[in-house]
Amino acid sequence: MLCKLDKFLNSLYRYSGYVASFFLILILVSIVIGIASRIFGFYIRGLTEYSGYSLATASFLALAYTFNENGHIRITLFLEKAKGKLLRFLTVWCLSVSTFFSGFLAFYFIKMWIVSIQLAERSQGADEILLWIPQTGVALGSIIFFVCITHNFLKLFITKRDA
Amino acid sequence: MLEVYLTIFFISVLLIFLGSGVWVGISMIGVSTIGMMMFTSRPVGDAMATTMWSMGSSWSLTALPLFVWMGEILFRTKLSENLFKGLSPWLARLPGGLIHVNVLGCAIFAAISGSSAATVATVGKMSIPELRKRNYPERFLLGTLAGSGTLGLLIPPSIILIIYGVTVEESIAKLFIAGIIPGIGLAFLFMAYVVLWSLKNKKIMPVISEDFSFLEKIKKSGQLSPVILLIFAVIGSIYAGIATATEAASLGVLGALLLSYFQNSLTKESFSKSLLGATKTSCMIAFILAGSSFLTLAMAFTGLPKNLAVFIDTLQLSPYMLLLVLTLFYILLGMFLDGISAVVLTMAIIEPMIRQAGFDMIWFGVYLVIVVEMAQITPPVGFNLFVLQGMAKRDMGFIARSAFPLFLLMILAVIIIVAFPQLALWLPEKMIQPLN
Repeated sequence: MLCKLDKFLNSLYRYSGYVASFFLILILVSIVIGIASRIFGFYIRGLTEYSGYSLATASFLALAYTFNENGHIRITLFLEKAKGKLLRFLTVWCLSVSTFFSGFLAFYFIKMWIVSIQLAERSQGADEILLWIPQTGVALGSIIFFVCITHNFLKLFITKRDA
Repeated sequence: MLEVYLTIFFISVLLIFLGSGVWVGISMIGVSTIGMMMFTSRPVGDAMATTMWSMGSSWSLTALPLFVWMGEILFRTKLSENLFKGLSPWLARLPGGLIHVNVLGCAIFAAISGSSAATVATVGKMSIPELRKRNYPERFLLGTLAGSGTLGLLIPPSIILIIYGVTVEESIAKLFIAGIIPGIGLAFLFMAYVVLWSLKNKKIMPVISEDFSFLEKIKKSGQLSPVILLIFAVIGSIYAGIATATEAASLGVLGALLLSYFQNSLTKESFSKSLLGATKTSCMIAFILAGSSFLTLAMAFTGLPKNLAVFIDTLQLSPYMLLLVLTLFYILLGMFLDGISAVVLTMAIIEPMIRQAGFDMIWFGVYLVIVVEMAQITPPVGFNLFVLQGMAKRDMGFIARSAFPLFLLMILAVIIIVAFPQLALWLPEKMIQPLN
């Protein structure tokens, strides 16, 4: 049962990474369209904003994937030297701090998203898009990130192994 | 007085978080949250979300994933092989021989990639085994490679310059152009060192018998021409004011894809690997940048940056004195932090100070990058050392010691750039209306 959940979650992180990389392609596409529009003299409203939103979505959706692939930067100087109990303590400490603050982050990104829906806030840029639309990916990404860190944290106690 | 204690507490928490191995992005969020709770009654969480959102979705930052992606694509082509084959016939007869391939290869790859670790990895992949085969002294070989790899940060495109530009809100296009002359200059400095060293140590340097006619040389380096063309297209379009940094980056990605297609290196696998690699790297950087925008906000509430700026101002330090202090500070910091984190973490505090002191922000960016470059080769934490340790199977202390002369050369470069700021500022001033 737990094994299945573990497997499911890991593929969730991986797939959100894939979706994130799709948004990276979208950045490229919208900028290339922007260049083309300058050359051929047509105008599409809010292209620069869209590429910014794609970047935010890509960055946040990839958080969990990057975390699981050890892509996030940290100082490992002392961590590498630590052994036994100290290593266990540091691992638990790092993951509990991260669980707390990623939860904090997810909570307030969801709140921002809900407020944007309630107030029907619009972007200040040329795109005038309803802000909650591009904020969805960011809120979703931060939730998945929180789930991923919590998952790693709990695994410490279930499997008794040092991550 | 209370404020002083609170500030000390605040900084200590940051150091404890970072030192104990908490991920840099999370550390910044945690410390900023604690700081804002201590110093203001403003709603912390909401401020965090809006700040991080506006940083994460900022248009100027879109250049970052694209340049990372471009480097990732070219890393998976036959470029490292071509660099070695194309450059070695020209350089073999110089004093120092093929060691120059390290320096020049790094300089060329630096103009494609914005990261120094990737630069070391690409050039080293070919040059380490090839130079070992020809019996070049190991210490000289690895030292020059570790040192030249740092050019990846200074010669545009440069990830650190993008990060700096976004943080202090200066034109990335101008910063890139400002990095060109100092970058090439530093490469020449390294090459001059290679010549001098090998003349002095003639006995242990191998004699290269390979000789090529001029036509052969041209033919051999012909494979490099598409890459050189790509470099000129990317940097040139920024300089000429036809493209913004982001647009140039997207042209770079398209060019890199094309190039890899014609070299038959573009497979489904290499494409998705390069894309996912870029996704990961840019996610990591965007996350710490978003964290740093929150840290900047929190820092402003603590009043620390402003107080520090005022304090430095009352000291009436000469600009040279201030730069000396800053340089020492960054070298110390660089022993424990990688370059990106060092820039991101400190700009929140020192930006008001350097503006107050009246430095040109474009110039300061170039200065900062050279100083931070040194961090890549200082133990115990230096990314180029990590990369080379894995590739060359030698311990880090050995590599760090062999790279030390190049570290000194970089200090010399800092002195030169302080004495002649025009080296960085002349080209950007000549730019044809930069697009932002």
